[in-house]
Amino acid sequence: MKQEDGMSFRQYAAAAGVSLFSPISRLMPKAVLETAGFSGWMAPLAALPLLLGLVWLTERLLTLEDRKAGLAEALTARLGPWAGRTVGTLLALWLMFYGGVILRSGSERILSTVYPDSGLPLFLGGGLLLSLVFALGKLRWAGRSAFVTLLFFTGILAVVFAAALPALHWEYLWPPELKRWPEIGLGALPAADALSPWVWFSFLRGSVTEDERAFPRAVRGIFLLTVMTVLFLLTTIGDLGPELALRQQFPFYVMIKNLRLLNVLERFDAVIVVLWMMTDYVFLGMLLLSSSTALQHLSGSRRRGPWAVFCAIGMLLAAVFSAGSAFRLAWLSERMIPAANLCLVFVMLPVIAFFPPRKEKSRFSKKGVDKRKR
Amino acid sequence: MRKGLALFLAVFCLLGGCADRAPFGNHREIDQLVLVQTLGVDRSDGLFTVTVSTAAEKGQVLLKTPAVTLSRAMKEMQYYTEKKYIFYGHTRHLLLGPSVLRDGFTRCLEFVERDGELRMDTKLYAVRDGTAEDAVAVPGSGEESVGDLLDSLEKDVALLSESHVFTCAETAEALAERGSVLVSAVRLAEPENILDGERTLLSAGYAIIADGTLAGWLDTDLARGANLLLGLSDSDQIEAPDGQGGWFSAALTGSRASYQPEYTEGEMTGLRIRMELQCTLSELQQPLDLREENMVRALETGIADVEAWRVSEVLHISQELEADFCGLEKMVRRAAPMRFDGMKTPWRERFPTLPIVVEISVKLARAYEGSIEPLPGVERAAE
Repeated sequence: MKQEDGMSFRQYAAAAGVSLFSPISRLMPKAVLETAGFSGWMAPLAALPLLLGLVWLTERLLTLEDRKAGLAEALTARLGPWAGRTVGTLLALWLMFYGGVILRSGSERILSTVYPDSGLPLFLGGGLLLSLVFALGKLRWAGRSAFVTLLFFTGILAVVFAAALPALHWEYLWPPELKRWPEIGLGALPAADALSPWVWFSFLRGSVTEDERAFPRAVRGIFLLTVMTVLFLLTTIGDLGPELALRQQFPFYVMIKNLRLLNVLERFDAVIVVLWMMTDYVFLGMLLLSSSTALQHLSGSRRRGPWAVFCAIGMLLAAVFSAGSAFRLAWLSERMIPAANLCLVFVMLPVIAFFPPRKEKSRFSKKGVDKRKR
Repeated sequence: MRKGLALFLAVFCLLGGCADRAPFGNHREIDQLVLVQTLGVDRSDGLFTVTVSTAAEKGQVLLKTPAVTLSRAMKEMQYYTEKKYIFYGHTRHLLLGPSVLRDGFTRCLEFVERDGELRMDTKLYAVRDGTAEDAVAVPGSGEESVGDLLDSLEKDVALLSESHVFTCAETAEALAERGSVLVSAVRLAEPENILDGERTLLSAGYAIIADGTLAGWLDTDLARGANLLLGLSDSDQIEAPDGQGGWFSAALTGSRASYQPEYTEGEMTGLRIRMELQCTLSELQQPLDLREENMVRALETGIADVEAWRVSEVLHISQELEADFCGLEKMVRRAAPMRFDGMKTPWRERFPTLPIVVEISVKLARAYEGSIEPLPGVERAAE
């Protein structure tokens, strides 16, 4: 018997968790420092209610009767076929553009930090190929590889934190400017924004095995991610200082360049930067999977593969033509994308979540025959 | 699946840069590299002169290049090494000559920030009296490189609290945060100090950088006062009058400072700096009966007076230059963050005219051997 393609909720959560380290390292700590000053390391804690609310809203959005649907299906069920398809297609196009910027941004980063003598096409092509391999295979393969990457990546993070925490300058972090609590509260927005792109993976939720404990697991995942992000911010701001971190384009990588492990190992920044690229590729692969699944569902197509190739081409075009230089790309990546993501995730999707789903037509005819098998 | 795996591995090998003709262009074997340990920068006639020194194990390499920019100077340096690539990624020390401290200090820091090879945790030094080139070339062809000397000096200055070596990251952060900073200063040893013929570097206190340029110097004596304010003074040797017409010496074993700002109607009206020093007695010039409480109190007062003078002098210079180079702002804020953040006049404007009182209490608790008295006939050389 042919096994149905899908991934477990654990694999789905692992893929989401790994992917998020791509926007975290791209946007943090700059985004929170700009808003909340040196107390910005507390911003992810302030963002926790927003993120937990988002988990609840996403669950609500995807719940159709008593089952979980993919985001594309949920959109058509809640907005009607035409509006749902239009919004779904626009979101898929948005994911292609988003993926393109991620691809370009990751490639620019590795060029500027490790291989300044190399060329952009190599990393654009290589990154896209890796992500395409991730997206073209079965979902459970993607899930497994994301899970393995998560384990591997957690080890890398542990090494980075172990090397960075003893060298922290606590005076850069403490005492927090509690008088600026409105700014710290406002810092919750960029923090929540950086931690929210997992919502786009909801296009795959229809292919994720039903799990009764999905909600508590998602909540636990958000807590863990928040703790990781706080540690990420503490080490970066605490090592470089808030002013210096704000001046850098990639403060986390500058911080890693300074690290020494037990006074024996140093200059392992290139290895970490290259390994960190894995998070970009998993993120890109997940965006590719999400956008192609959305287009497959909305077009009623049976195969996802051609749509994945179509989306990959779209992402490549976006990567090449979205910005003329790394300076322009920084504006797109640090300003335009987060702002658009914030509006879509925290305004549009919650509004749609409150649209009642239309009654699903029964799968069975009056004679009890399964219509899908006809 | 197999096709996918093969493609994955092929792309990964390509990205790994293992192949001889990898498309990345910067793959080099370790034996093709010249690892720079110390970098010196001077400036004259609008040109930067970069001097580099490598480790001494395989014979120290010293190179010098003048150029319009630091980047050009560092690249031009490649001409002078045969078939080897000068790699700056392990540079540990950066020495800036007085000419750069006056004009080009922030440019050098920005260069370290921006450069892909140099690191922000590179230790930063200011060269007093001379050039960075002289300082980098100081060990000549000896068995030690200037990097080894500076590593050793960094530990030595902590013994007498004559300075503290900050990294480029710490300096850049302080400069961005408060506009002024202290940089550990070094000088070439005077010929009469050198017994074994080997030239060396000595501590020269601190260089004061304010608004991106050299604003003055703190000699080693005042550097001790600055270190007390910075909370970096855990070891020192203090000489003070004993109150009986002679001198004594005590070793500092610990210090703690607390800052008590006074506020009136949302304005800071004064600052009281309280310091507690722990010392042990090292030397006496003349016999003293230390079982007498008053005698010990007199010694403690002697130490307190010396240190209060150092700290007050540093604060005086700081206020006169309108440069909070010791970072008092952070420490004062920590005492009462809410009141500090609510101040009507910003710290930078308030600091230059802020009345500051320094109170130092000393605890002279013990001596390694307290009962030993000086032998008869000890001269009064310390005066």
